[in-house]
Amino acid sequence: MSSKKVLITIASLVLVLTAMAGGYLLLQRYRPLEKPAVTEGPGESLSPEPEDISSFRIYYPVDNTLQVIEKRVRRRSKQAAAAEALMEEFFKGPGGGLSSAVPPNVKVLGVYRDAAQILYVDLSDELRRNFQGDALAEYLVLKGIYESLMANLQEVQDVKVLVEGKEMESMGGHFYLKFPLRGIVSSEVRAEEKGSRE
Amino acid sequence: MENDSTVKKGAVIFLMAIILCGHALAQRAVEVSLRFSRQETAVRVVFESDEDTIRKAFFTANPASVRIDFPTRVELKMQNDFPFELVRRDKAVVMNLRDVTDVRAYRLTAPSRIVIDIKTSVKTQKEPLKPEQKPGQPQAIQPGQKPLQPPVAQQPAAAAPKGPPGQKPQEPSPAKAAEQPLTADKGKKVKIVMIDAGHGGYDSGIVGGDAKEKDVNLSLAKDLYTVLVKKGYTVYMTRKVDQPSSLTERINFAGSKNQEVFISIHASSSERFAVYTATGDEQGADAVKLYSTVSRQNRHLARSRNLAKVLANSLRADFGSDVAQRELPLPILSTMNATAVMIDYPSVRAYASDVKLREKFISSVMKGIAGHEQ
Repeated sequence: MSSKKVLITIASLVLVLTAMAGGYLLLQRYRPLEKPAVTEGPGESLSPEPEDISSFRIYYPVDNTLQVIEKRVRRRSKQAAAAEALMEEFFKGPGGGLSSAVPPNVKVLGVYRDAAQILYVDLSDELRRNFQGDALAEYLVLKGIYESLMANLQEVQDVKVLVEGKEMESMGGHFYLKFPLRGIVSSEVRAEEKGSRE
Repeated sequence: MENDSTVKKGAVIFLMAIILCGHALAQRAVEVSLRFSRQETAVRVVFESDEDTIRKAFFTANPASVRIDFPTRVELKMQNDFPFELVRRDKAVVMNLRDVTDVRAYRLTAPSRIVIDIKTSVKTQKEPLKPEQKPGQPQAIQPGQKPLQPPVAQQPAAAAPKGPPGQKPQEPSPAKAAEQPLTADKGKKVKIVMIDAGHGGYDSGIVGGDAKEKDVNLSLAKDLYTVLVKKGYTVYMTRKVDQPSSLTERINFAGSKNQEVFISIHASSSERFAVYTATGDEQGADAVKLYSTVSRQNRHLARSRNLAKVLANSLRADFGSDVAQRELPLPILSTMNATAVMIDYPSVRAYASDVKLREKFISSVMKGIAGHEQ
């Protein structure tokens, strides 16, 4: 009697699981496939959202490494607006007397996201013209942009930097800028000074 | 009682088997067709599959590689004679590229496909031009997208130096020799070195007062060139005059030669030397693995690290200062099919004006190269 109950329970369970799997596959098949290419346009992103204060964890290149500094800004409900505010804070530099390789006077012209969840950060040409640094400094600036956005925004797959709305080959002549950043900045800098590992 | 226990055990096993089978079915390989067409200096590669697979695929492209991460395992059905090296890893497909000047990737629908247009600096065509689309299918170009155009062949800096329009290129005398491989003394093995003077043209690099990094890099590169040629090396330079030279152009030029050692010269923004090598395979992040997978530098990494170490020791001994030794995923090093390092010297201003300092630097680098060969 007991074994019959067990068998009935198993059979019911299998039926339920099969029904759930079928339903899931059906939903997958019939849900809308195409999303609009740009989910939030520049017009939306530029309008300030009313609300309180939130904090960003921003990765600044300071002294040959990335230093996380928490900055408080007005909360934005739209992700593109938040990304724009975040980038504006990033390009203000770390403050507090810290020297950073972040190029000065860079303006954030817009932040957009495509259907593949790649975030496009459109910056003014000062990014290229005002950058004064070596390979490590360039790497850390790019990594700082990437890490800051990835740490504070959800569902972003990758980040691509545009200059004046166009793809540029490089910011400082050492790394590619015309490709998404994840493939470039996802490694830790390994360094050896005076013969010993840092 | 015992019967009940057996039934329960059987039930548990049955359930686990169902779950495992379900998982295996969910992970079954999806068929992806891979085809390509060639034009004179361009290749179009098309990955075609069902809508869901293509829509969820994530791809990154750069002149060294194209990587596509599919949402599930895929079974590739390939056209023969695929012109690029293909690496398959679980759900990922990586194409290693060579002699590429530009690469563009698009996700298109009807049928669902990822189209990759690759422009090369060398002729790729082996057969008459075939359109990539099947008869009756729309062409794989988005509305407004430019049709695939054969690119202008890249002029290697050392082969055909260009100056600003209307200005005659300034041809340094040692540079002419770079085109003619030299044979060293009898019995001595000829070493082939390529020197890369960083930046150039509108890209000045670091500016210190009136001194620009691009000029100091070039001056040091020419000095090193002269010394190496005198010692019997065959030497190439990625640029010999003040001209813009993109990363891709440098990489392609280096790819067209058979140098054993590649040295890129740059300035440091700190007050000390730094010697860089490409990032190795040991690091764990996926993206780095991708970069390393495609890196032609992998097989040379041990020698590159050795050269970096010897150079750092030499600079440390000669200048009595700290020398940072770092690994970074620098494209100019990662794509190099040779022992490859980048040397950053400190203070653009000092090296621009001080001839003796420059001579000391060149001498130290030469010691490093000699030490590496031993």
